[in-house]
Amino acid sequence: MGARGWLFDIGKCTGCHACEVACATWNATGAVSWRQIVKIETGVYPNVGTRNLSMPCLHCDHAPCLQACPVAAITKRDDGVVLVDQATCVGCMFCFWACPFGVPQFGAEGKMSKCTFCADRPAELPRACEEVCPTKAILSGEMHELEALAARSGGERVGGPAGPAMFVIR
Amino acid sequence: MTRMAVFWILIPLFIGVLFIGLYRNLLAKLAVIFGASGRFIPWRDVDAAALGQAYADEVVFQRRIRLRGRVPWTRHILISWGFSVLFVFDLLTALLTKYLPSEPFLDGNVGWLFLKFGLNLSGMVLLAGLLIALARSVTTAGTEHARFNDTPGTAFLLLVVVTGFVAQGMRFANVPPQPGYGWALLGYWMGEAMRAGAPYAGSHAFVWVTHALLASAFLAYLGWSRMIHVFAAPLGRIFYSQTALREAKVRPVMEGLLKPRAGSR
Repeated sequence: MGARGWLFDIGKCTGCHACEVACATWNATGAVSWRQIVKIETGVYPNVGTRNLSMPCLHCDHAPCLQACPVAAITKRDDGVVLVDQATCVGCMFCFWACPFGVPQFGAEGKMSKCTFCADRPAELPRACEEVCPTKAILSGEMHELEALAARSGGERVGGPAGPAMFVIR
Repeated sequence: MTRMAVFWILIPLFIGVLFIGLYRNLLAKLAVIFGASGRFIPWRDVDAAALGQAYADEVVFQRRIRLRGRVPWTRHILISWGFSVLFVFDLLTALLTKYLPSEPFLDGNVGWLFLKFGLNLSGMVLLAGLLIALARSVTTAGTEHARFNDTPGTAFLLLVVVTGFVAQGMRFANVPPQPGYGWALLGYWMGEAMRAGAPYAGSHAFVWVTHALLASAFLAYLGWSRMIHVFAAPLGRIFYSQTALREAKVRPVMEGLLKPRAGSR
């Protein structure tokens, strides 16, 4: 299996938070939210609007969180998914500081946690967030497939030296 | 080469290993963080009150661990404070009795008793925390919780503390009891209990050197194991209190992602 990632269509996202709820429910994350909706306001009154981005871990190619972890608790699987080993993590938050998107969250058990790409979910199924999204703004899959889809819709890969595994259609 | 020569070669070696570990596993990681974020806040924007509150919560009172339960908090605060105070008293003892010896801190005087009291009290606090941690390791062995225990680190530190108390007990057992020795608490009590087997001339030297080597080796171990959290966790968590720093790091990235392309919806 090739590297996996996300395709997100900003124009389709209504900011309903269903993805957050599905993620928290499937992964039993408790008070921590592995997906977070970020909003910005656009336009000038009276022509105003909001744009929403449902932000998971972007499972970067050169994940800075992995490089910054002092106890090597963060690993990258062959399919590109970046995981935190809860037993090894010491909760120092270095991964949060290293992540350009501030994704890793401090959990109730004193460990860092973040999106696992629904690691315990069969690969052929959509991710929990993706499955419930009412507007199909979230799509997961192999990066080469997502790249083709993004190209057809004028999307582009999120930039940066870390190589985030997400395409965005603005 | 004498035994003491080996001892004085090994101790700087262990300290060197600690510094290499701190460089590789702490400073180099901080460099990754600064390289990845590339964003700083000016000193005038530092929220000193939040910084102080975070220091009190995370380091002094460890409130976040308290939220997880009374037992984890008791265990952690006994170990962290016991270790920190013991380390300070060890440095003071070496300084005031060996390298800059002064009358009040020589054997049996008030300063010496103060140092012994501090060393033994903090050592006993540390020992209590380590015994709770070891009890957890034993009771959770074979369960899912066992993965979260740092049993090697706990056992290593316990060995350092126990050899320290045994060495001190032997030393007290080797000399007649003096007024004020009771301030040495567990060290003195062990000495009294071990008096029947005194003198411990050769064995005391062996246990003391073993203790010193283990203590130095443990310092080296700090930089290369999960124990590095004693440096890393306070650093990362205290700075988390700086809302402006967090905003400065993430907000522009998110806004950049959300910015509409020219001509898009």
